[in-house]
Amino acid sequence: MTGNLFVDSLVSLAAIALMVGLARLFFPASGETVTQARAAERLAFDEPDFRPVRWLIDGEGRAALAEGEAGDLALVSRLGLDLVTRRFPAGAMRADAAEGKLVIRPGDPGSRKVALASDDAALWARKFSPTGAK
Amino acid sequence: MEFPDIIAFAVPAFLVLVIAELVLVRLTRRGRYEARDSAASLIMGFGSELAPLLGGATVVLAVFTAAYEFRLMTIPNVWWAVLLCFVLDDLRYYWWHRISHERRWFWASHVVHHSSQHYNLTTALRQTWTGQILAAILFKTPLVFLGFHPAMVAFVGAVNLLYQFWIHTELINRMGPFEWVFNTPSHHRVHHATNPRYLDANYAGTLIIWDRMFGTFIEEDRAEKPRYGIIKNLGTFNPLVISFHEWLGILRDVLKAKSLKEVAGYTFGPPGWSPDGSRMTSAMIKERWRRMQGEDAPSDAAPDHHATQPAE
Repeated sequence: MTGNLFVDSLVSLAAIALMVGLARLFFPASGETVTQARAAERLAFDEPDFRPVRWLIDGEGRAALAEGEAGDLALVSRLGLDLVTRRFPAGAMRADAAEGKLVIRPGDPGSRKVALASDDAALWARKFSPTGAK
Repeated sequence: MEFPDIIAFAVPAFLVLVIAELVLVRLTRRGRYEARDSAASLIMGFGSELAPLLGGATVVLAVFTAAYEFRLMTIPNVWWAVLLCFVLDDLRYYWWHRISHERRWFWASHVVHHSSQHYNLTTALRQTWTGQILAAILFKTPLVFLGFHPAMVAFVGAVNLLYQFWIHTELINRMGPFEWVFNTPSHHRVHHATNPRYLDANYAGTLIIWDRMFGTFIEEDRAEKPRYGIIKNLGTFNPLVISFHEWLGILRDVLKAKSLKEVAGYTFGPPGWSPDGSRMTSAMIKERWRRMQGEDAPSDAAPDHHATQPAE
């Protein structure tokens, strides 16, 4: 490179823009949705001892929430082409119902808020204790 | 002997190779790309080059200079010394890398590199913004103190890093006898995998012989495709979260610790350690997997043994 930090940085940023642009061009976002089957497959890998008995699937395909045999919960949400799971012991998940959506805040530094649109959002929200996610 | 700044020369090659991989993956469908994931990886790589300029590089230079002043012997700058230095540096890399998976303080920096669920050449550039300085001081200074010139130590370290770029791909399958000695895409796919079978394995930089020697080698199984990422995958592409989430996790745990022992465990214990065992270390995950496979599991799941990725 040139040895000039400013110029080198600009060149690097231009190269990054080129690579990301090509990645976007060659691999456009597929718009895959989270289905119960996809979420169950991911859960079986990430949390093999979790046994889902009830599901709440986001109407917009962004996430799925499963209740386990022991009252524990598993959240499966979409990140790009992939899925991300978080498991909560019984009574340890923070969630609220607002405007027909169940809003879940996993509470760990690597997560973000997830909203599940469903007619059953309020019903599910009542299940959760406000003690905070682990 | 002059030691060129090969990383600077390599940047155009990175660009060409990433574009070549993009085209080949598109044509062959062997591998995956996601623009936002690649953007995050590349921004992390860009930041990792800038981060040492905040002062850390000067500190490392000062430590190296002092160590060289008090060196045990003077090793000449000749070809065999470069080769010897490279092999010793690769051994140094193996232990640094292994500790980076086994101790949460070091994992907090290294987790960045594993935080993508994709495995392609941009993943190679997903590097940490933190931890480089301490790693250099702790693990490279002994080579300087031994008598290798700091420029030579920096050069072989750069060669090692460059070698590791091309192995981050799903395009290349198996490589025959080359795999007996050298780290390859297949070996490194295992290292990036979260499948319980593959955890805690293949820490090598260039030479896979260290894993074979120290019992951490696992071969890629054609029947079990690696699934990449970390045990508790990130829910965002935000580079700031990628960079600092584990440090924040340590801080949060330390603040709620009830004793100094817990502080030490949360900070320097294996990733996933917790005082009550409510979280899972990689050893516990492997143990669970063996149990569920119905295998005769050896009792190596003690909370302080060979843990790798956080499973809090």
